Amino acid sequence: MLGKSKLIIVFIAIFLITGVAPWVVSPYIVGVITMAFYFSVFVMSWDLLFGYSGEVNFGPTFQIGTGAYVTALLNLNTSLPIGICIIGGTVASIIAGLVLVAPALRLRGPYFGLITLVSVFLLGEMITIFAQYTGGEIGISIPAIITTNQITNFYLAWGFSAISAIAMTIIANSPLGLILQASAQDPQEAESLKFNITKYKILAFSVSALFSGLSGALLVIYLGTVSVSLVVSIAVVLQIIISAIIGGRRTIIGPVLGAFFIILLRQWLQPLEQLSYAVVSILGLIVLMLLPDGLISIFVGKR
Amino acid sequence: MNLFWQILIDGFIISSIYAVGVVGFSLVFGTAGVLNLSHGALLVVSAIFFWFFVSNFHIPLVLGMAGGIIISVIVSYLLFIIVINPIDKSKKIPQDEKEVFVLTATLLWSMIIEEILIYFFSSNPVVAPPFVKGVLKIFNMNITCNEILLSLSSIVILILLWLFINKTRTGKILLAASMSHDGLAISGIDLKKVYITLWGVYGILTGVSGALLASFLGASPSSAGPLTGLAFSVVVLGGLGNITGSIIAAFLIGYIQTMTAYLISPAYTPIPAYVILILILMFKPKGLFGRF
Amino acid sequence: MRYLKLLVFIVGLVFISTSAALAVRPINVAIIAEEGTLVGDAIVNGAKLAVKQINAKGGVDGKPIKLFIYDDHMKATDAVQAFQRAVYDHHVVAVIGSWISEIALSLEPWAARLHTIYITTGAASPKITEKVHKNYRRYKYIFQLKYNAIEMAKTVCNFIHDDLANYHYKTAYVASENAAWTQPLDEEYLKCLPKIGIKVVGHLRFSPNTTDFTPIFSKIKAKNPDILITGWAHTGLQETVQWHEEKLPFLIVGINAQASTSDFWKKSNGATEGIITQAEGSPAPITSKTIPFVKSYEKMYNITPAYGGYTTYDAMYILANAIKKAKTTNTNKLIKALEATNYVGVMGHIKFYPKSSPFAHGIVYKKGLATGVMLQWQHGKLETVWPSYAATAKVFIPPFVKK
Repeated sequence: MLGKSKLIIVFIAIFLITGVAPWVVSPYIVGVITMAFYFSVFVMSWDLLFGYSGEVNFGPTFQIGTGAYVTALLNLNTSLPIGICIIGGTVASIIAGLVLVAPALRLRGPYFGLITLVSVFLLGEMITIFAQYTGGEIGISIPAIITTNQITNFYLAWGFSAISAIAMTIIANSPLGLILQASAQDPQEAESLKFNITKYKILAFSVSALFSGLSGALLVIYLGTVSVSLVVSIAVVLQIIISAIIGGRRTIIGPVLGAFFIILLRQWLQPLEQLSYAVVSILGLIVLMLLPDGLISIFVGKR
Repeated sequence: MNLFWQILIDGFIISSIYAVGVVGFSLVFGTAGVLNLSHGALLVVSAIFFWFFVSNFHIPLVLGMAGGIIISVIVSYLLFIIVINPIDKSKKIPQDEKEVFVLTATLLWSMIIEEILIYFFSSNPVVAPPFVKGVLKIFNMNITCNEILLSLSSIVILILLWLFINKTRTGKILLAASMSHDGLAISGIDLKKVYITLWGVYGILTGVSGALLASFLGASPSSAGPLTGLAFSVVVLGGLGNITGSIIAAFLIGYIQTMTAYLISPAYTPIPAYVILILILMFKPKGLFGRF
Repeated sequence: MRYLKLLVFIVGLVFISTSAALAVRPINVAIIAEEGTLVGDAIVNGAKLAVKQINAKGGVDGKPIKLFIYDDHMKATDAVQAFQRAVYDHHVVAVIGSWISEIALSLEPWAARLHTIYITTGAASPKITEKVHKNYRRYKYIFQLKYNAIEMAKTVCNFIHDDLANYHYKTAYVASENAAWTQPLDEEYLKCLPKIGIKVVGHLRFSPNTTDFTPIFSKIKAKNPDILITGWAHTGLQETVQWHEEKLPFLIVGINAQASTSDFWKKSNGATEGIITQAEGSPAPITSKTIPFVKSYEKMYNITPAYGGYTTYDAMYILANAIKKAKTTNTNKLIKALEATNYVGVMGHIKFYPKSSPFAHGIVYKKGLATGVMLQWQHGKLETVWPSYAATAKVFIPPFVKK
């Protein structure tokens, strides 16, 4: 693929340019970019699954939410060190990811989409029902903080999202990624070539859940609260899907552009107050219609 | 014994409303292959405009409803012209990825509509006045005549839709389109005309459903998401492309919810329906009556 | 209407910015609210009105107040980003607003980290002040200018005791949304109702996503209560309409958040006739300032204020007074001045609970100070029926309800 080396250049450019942000822009923009980094890991993990298994997953927040809530609840109710809480949350997120493997193997297209959507609804209902532990729709505050220093927080998010991007790009271009892609296009043939699709799907879901769960855990610790609208609600899912598609699906790095596009645009249009969201959605629709290969195609050309 | 009748009647009313609310979603998927995730937003548009016309201009309900339907048809055509058709015609988007583009684009469309409605009408819910007044007492339960009327109208609309698709020429063409687009082109039918009819019918259908919902459940811009979620769940459960399947699934979900509310607790109303939905899909991966 | 608002806003902006250019550096204050919701819009409007009045009288010791308004779109992430922007870019003295407990709670860690005063003028969760009480040093920046859920339940009980005694109602059924905010509310209902001689014959909580209320009403009817006690915010319209259509013979009293807004009559087509709900303020002589406030508010916005308007208007004046008294915008000194608040506002006589109280930095709820009001929809108008000194009308029992 011609674009591959260009993709790497875009990747390096994004992280180098944003890397100097704390020294150039106001601390508020630094805060916005910090959140955008965590969010872009959600989008990359979604893209990994979508791009290499071909299924539209409506349930990324099932993993993210599980990871974030388990981390928060561990921190709130036990005296375990913060690192252990994060690991606990990430493990829970991977388990949540594995729960979706069974339907992913059996179901296709919208049928798979529905199962994942329902998993998010169910998680939301559970949080409401067990409100005395989870805080219900109000959410809960978490005592844990890694640091309150805005710049340290920024570099934590920056480093984490860069490592995630590198890891996921390597996986996507490894034999594992290629086999997944093949199995998505023609399951029978992949099966006949003696690839154990189940094993690879389990791997893909685990990797995706690992990064998104970890990112969810780090995000809520950075914010100091966990709530449904932050890490579970369907609105978050929609933002993830839209970011991935208008950023440039199946490129891992494109979704980062998409995430930044939406988040920065919303902040920039903040003076429009109530109408800012409508304008962002309209611009998103325009990008989608005019640049089907996503924002990334501006830099790497058509695929 | 009373409880039995209560569940039977109450479940029937809510299920028929669900059915009429989701059937349009099923229609456009079945014929055009479009998974329209702005379905809920369109229902809300017609519901809110119905309320707006009636409560601001004090016109008869039927006229207000007609106004809501006209707006709904306009929005439906706009969706087709601005979003669906360009994606369908696009050479840049690979054929097998069009589905995910339609899905994303309709999501954005839905968010745009929702934000604009909030801007003009605020996010507070509205409810349209009842079509008829009065209460009926049966089996120790009070049922408003309006609910009965809405439920019966829903059934009539579903029957009319069935007749339209199976008995009229236009309907048969739509049905044929759902089977094979290429076959239709070969037989010399203009696909464009088929689509124009389809999105018109869809607009009218959603307009009517939206008005019924406005009178029964009330509507707010933020109910667009949950309504789309309901339509998606019901239609996929019924099996994509099968309108009868969607209607049966609507009754299944409606009755499960009603039974949960009466027999378990109103706090858990949505949960058993979700669980059963997952179980059914695990055993029947193409929904109850799916073709695709 | 929108354009008018925009025009007023632009004119206000120009006015403020020119006067700022001429005068000294203004005092910056941030408003974070949910625009497009009635309460959120009222928060913004109340703040603008107060600032207009304060600045017209020469500002705070000659310094005008400058408002920065952010819409959080009902999302915690947006609110947190707005909070950071307010502090880092706009150097605000305090952040005021939001009526959603989830958002208020998510702003608390940021108020603590960025050492910035945050006054919520709409969120009701007692958890907000519980944190101030438990960890004062860390969370002393947070104030709640709004009755919490427990106090709201108390208002409902006090009203029933004072105003419904003549009707000899004996039984009540408590039915609330199954949500975190109604948990302390329901607990207090179940405690205070028996104390005023009302027997609770049933208690149920229903999913906030409920679409069909027939099962719920048939459970309630089976117990034949005299009063239905409510905790409704996400829902409310459908229940109100169904109660009205079916002419169910019990009175509905409690929290019915949607019904406490002025356009609910239109949005429910009059089904809300007879509904009784709690609120923080109303167009009634709660204090001598209340009616003049409502009049200027109506003149400016063509709508009566929702509760966020009363609370935020008072919050703005309380903040301005505290700055005057502290003679500085230094945060720690300002907190001391705010804690010493003793101010008659439009919602009552306002004092804050001390840090020893479990509701530390919440407003003191007491008859004679501030209690909130009970409202009832009567013939298309939202009348104040409690407390007696503020009442604009007597309680009215709808014809189909038992007397």
